[in-house]
Amino acid sequence: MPTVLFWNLNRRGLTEEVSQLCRIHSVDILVLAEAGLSDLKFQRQLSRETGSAYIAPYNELSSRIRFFFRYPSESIRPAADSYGLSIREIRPPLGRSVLIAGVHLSSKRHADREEQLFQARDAVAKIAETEENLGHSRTLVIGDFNMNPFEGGLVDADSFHGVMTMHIAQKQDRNVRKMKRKFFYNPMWSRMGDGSEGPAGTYYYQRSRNREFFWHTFDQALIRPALLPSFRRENLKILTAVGSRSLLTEGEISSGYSDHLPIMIELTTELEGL
Amino acid sequence: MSSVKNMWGELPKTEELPDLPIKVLKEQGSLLTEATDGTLIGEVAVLNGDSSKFRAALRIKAPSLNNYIFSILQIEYPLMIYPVDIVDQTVNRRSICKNLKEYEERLEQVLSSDRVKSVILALLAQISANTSLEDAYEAAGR
Repeated sequence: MPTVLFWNLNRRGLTEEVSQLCRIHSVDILVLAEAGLSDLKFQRQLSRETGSAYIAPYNELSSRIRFFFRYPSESIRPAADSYGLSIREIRPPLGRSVLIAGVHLSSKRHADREEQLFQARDAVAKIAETEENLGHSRTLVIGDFNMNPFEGGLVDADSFHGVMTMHIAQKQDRNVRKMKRKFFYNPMWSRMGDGSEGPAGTYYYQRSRNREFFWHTFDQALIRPALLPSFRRENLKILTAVGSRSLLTEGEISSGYSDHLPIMIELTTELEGL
Repeated sequence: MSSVKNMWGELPKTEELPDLPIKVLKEQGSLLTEATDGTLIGEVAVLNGDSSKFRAALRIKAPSLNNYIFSILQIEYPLMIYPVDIVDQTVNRRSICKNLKEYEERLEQVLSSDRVKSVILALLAQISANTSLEDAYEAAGR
């Protein structure tokens, strides 16, 4: 039952908080963006806090994402690396292999809409190529997309093609101008606004612009239809506390931690039928 | 028999045609493959571009690491060849090259960068370690 935690740390280190989350939620795969500190510092704190060894293989190949695994080293294989995208194949001791793609695409401060779309399309093409290469699409994409679920990079058919219902995703794909485009299910559609479970988003930002969303859901987990049998909606969470410490202050993200909230997803890869 | 007047002027000969940016990429890819005896493959992939541009990518492929792929750069160029747009995918830096000289200079900067060198070193070390381990298992099995 791999539990995957993603957190953009905004270069704040936060080794204690990360390690506590890993212990509290029994995290198997930790994915970090803007980690700020060395792998070794995280590994030491993780080991101290959880009593488990987290390995960090192949992070030298990755430019924007760090992975930490509570698995034996032979269970992890690198699949692809590019700017803002790192894909690893996980062959857990029990169950079938899955692909975990960690993403951290450029922020709106450093990339305009076209550049963000370019990066999203490029990432999806690499994910699809890896799936074809490995012969399966049991893929979870998790990370900081720096785009909301409703933006082109997440929705467009030639991009992530993330849809808001499992029912649509289960159709696997659709033809767009004679090209077959595979779906992702994007459960983060159901995590926006204050009518949703948990906070209104994963990132809070306010300026004096005419169009202001305040809350953004930049941190997302996208699931290919082939992995949907191992996913339950209640197993995706935007975390708002580390133990008794809240990551929120007066309805906004506390400045004492990162400017992003962590997200966590639990998959049951041992389920029959995958 | 009357001779036909050539109104085209002097047409370019095949050997005078300019090298396409993708050809230069393929040559550099082959160099990596040869230098590592095929342990790493310098692979050029042709990508779908918009109708007015050609796109290609240079990547390092490691066949013995489950066909692991490390993306180095992408190029994009028009039918008229220049300017060539290079995206260094190790740091996400975009540059525009107005001619072959600028293109080759930029390419060299990326390919000989510390980042690319360290990735090649890490991959070769990993593959070498895996091979030693497999040899040891094989020897123990005998």
